[in-house]
Amino acid sequence: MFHIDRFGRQPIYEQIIEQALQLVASGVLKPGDQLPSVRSLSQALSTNPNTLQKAYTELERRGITMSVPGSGRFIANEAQRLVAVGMEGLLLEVTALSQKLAAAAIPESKVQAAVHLAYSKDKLAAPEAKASAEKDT
Amino acid sequence: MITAKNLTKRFSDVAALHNLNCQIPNGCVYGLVGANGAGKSTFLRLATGVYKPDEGDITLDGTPVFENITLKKRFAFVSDEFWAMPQSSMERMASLYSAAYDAFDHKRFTSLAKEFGLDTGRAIATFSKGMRRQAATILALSTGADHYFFDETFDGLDPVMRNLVKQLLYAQVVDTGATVIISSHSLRELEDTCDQLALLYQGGIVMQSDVSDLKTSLFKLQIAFGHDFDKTVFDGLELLSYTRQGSVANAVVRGDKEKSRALMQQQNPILLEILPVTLEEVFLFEMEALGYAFDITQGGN
Amino acid sequence: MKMYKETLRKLIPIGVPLALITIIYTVITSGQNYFGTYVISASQAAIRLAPVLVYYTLSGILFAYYGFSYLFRRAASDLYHSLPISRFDLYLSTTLATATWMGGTIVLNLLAVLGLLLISGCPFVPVYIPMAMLFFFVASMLVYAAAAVGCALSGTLLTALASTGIVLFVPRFIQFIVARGVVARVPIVGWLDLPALLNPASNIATGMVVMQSRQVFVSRIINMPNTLYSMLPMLVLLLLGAWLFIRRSSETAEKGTGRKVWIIATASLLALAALLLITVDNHRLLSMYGVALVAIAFLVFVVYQFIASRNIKQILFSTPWFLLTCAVAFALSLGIDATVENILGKTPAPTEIASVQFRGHDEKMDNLEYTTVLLQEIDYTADSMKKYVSETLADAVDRIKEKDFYAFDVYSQYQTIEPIAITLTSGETIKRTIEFKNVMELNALREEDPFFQAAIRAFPTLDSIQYINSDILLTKEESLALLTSFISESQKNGLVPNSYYRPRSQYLDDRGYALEVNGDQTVGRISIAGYVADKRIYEYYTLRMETPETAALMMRTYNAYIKEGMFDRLAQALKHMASPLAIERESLSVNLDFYNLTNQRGDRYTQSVNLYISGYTKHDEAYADIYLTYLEKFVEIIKRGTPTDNTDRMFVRFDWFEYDGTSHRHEQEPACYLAFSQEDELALQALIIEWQTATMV
Repeated sequence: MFHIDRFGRQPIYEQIIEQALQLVASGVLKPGDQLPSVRSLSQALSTNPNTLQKAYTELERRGITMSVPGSGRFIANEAQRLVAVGMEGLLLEVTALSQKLAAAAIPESKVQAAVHLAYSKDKLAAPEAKASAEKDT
Repeated sequence: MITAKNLTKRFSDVAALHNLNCQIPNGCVYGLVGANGAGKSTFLRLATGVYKPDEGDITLDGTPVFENITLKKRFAFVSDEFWAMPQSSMERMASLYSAAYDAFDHKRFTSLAKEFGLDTGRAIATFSKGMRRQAATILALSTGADHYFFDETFDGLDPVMRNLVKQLLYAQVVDTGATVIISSHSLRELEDTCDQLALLYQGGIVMQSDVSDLKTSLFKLQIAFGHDFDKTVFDGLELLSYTRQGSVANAVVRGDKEKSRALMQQQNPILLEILPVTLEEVFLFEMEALGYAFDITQGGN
Repeated sequence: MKMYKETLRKLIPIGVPLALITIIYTVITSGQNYFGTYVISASQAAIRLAPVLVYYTLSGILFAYYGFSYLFRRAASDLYHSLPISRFDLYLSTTLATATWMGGTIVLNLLAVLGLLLISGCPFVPVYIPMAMLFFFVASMLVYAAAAVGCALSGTLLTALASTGIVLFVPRFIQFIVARGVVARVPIVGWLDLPALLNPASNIATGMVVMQSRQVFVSRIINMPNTLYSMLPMLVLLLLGAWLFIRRSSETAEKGTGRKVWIIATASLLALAALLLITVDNHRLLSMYGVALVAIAFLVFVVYQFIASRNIKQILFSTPWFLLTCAVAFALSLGIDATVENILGKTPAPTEIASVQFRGHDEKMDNLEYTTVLLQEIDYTADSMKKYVSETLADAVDRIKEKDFYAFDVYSQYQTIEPIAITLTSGETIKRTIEFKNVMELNALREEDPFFQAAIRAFPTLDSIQYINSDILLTKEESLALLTSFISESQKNGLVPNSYYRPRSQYLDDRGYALEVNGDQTVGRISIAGYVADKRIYEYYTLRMETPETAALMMRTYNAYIKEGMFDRLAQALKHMASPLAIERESLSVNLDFYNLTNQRGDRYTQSVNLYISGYTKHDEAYADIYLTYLEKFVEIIKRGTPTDNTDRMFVRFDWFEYDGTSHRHEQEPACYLAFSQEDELALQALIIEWQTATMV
């Protein structure tokens, strides 16, 4: 489920959290799915269990996961929503990126077209997300 | 928890460790970094009751370790140089260990040896250096201890073996809350393995921190502006270093990444990159900071 | 417990080979001794039961060094000290395991000896076995403890060896040197005359070394006082070893002895040992010999320190200690001089003497004559004895002081040397070994004491005698019969069986030769061995004509062994030797002992005639001629002799044997006793004189 890039500069702790968020965002991990235990993950990735524990604790703190005593950790119901909320921060990056493009005199229409491309690809996934979001409310 | 308080050890009037203080919490994987001759081996030997402190003490849950057999039964020490009795095999050494450790698990010993592909009946003198380290590790892991001490042992293992050992140790940490203490002169080694790191310098621990904290709270910031600027653009951020080349500035910052990015973004840079630092860089910066601190105190005297 | 078993196993490479070697060696040598011909000389002293054990005690060093070998390597030392075993348990388990191996080997060796002794019927003192077990065990553990102390103090093998040597040998060595110095300079004091603490035998370590060169100590080494006395240093060293081991820091490994004080002390003691050699042979410190020794001692002092610490500055600063060592050696040498003066000054007057004891002229031997065992108990208090002894001692001291050595001006066959002990009225006892001019004078004085008279006539009881031998030819029953006859006849007539104490014959014949006459004539010998309480005893009894019934019994016993056709065989042998067929390595020997020959003074005496011819001697024609002639002449008359047991008349003891040097064929005709007709007697006597004249040329 997770993979670690040991030789990159990003701390393992951050990698786990980021990957977890991405998996929730892309719908691979749905609410109610169980996360691997710290033990099995540590064995699979040859990673310090304490580090993994920290990452898991952070995920729980953010509300992405919840732990059921005796059973393990599961993706929380609001996970997708929270991830989406978190993702909104990325809009800033879009702006920053657009600034760069503008400075390079790329016309706005091309930028909009690129954005549109992303959303049309998502059309397959989007109705599902919409539908489950509607279910919850 | 292992606690060292004002721990001092001298050899021939030269202090290897001087007023060393540190705490090693239970269940962590603790890395001890230091240059050759900094005192790592000495510290480990004091912790496992091989040496007696000249001043101060080193205790487990408040009880000094030296000559305390009940405590030592919970400690397993793996030295960089594995010594075995003349013409002995692993099996023979296991018999020595089991005479000392009540909880020695012979079944586990045999199955571990099989996992590592070592013949327990063969003379250890015929083993390569790496195999000897593996043998030492296997013996330590079979003692039923809950504190493992590795003195530069990992440096000699090949990546496959290192992985295997790490997995075994991690399993123990998760299952039994074991504590693992590893010393090395290579930070790279310890980075991946440990969750606590301490720096041993001039006979004392100068820095001890959680690895994740270190790596997440420090980062490099690269920024460029269309106009002239100076260091003051970084006001509001905790700077550890600052260099500027032309219109590009590089700074090492301690703090929250996103908040810092947002802050800098407000100044409308033409370039803004946030890069992670390696642990080595972290230590170098910290060392510099402390180095200055040492100099100041000595100058002041 | 587990560590003990583990250490037992660890010591197998040392324990097992040594056990095997010692047991095999013991079984083979004891087997040879106990089943051999000279059984009487076997197992004389406890220490000879299993002599290999003397060397085995040194294995205590091997066990210690092997068991504590981890102390000499950093990695090993760290490993052992990281294990959850207390330092005390490490020491204890090695000590107990060593004790098990050494104790077990010693017990097995001595049990093997016991078995062999019982099977062979060789006489032995039963208490020697457990005493030897205890002795060797204490000795071995003493050596081990010293080695353990050496290991605990040191970080390298070499310095450990030096420390062990110091602990084990230096005090004893000093004791030995002092004793040697005294003995060398005072001829009237022998090793056994030294007081207990100076006597090297009391100390196991030196005792066993010293007995290699001085046999006098062999029977004195294993006894309860020595063993108990040595237990003290053993326990002290074991405790010291434990204490040092517990205090030892792991980082001492590979670092010499680490402690400056001990390095200098060891160097000083080694130098002292070298310097003390000055006293070995009466040399003066200021001679060439002395100067050379000082140089050697200094070299030892410096070299050892260099090996142990490689610290030149430290060596230079330690030189005052060397000077101190020289001073100590000099002081000891002066001490010896003072002791010598003191000894020579002790010449008590008769009034100062409370009693005198004679320790036995054979005191130095491994086992004692039965008579000696009895006589040792006697206190002589007669004034005449006190005066005699006092004068003899004073005289001896005078001669030593005058000439610096000790010898009589004139040698006489009645001189004797006896170790004595003089108890003074002050309570002090002094022991000396002095020469008495005339043993008969001494015996006469001793005979004034009734105990002495009874003692020299006493025989051991039959159940304390385990071994009787008179001749290989005779059976046990026959020997026993001879012995019992000899005992009862001697007791009936109040005879003194021991040759040393009976009145010596002073008979000189016409030509001035000493002769044994009449009752003194020797007819045979019986030797016995056994033990009384914890002392091994023996006696060689000489059968003489003064016990005629026994003599007659002996003659009858031998005569019963006469084989048919003896003279025919003799004639053939003679014919063969006379012919040219006799080759060089063949020989014929005829022995004739003529008893009860009468001389001009009317006394009866014994005359031996030995006729020998070989193929080799035949080259000398003159020689061959005479001997062949007389062989034929004698045999001619002897042939007519008849077996007899009559001790009143003349008789001859006759035996002969043939020997072939090439094939090693040895034909011995058993001895027999023959008597002759009156004419033959006269003819024989004449023939004897003729032969004597012929061979005097």
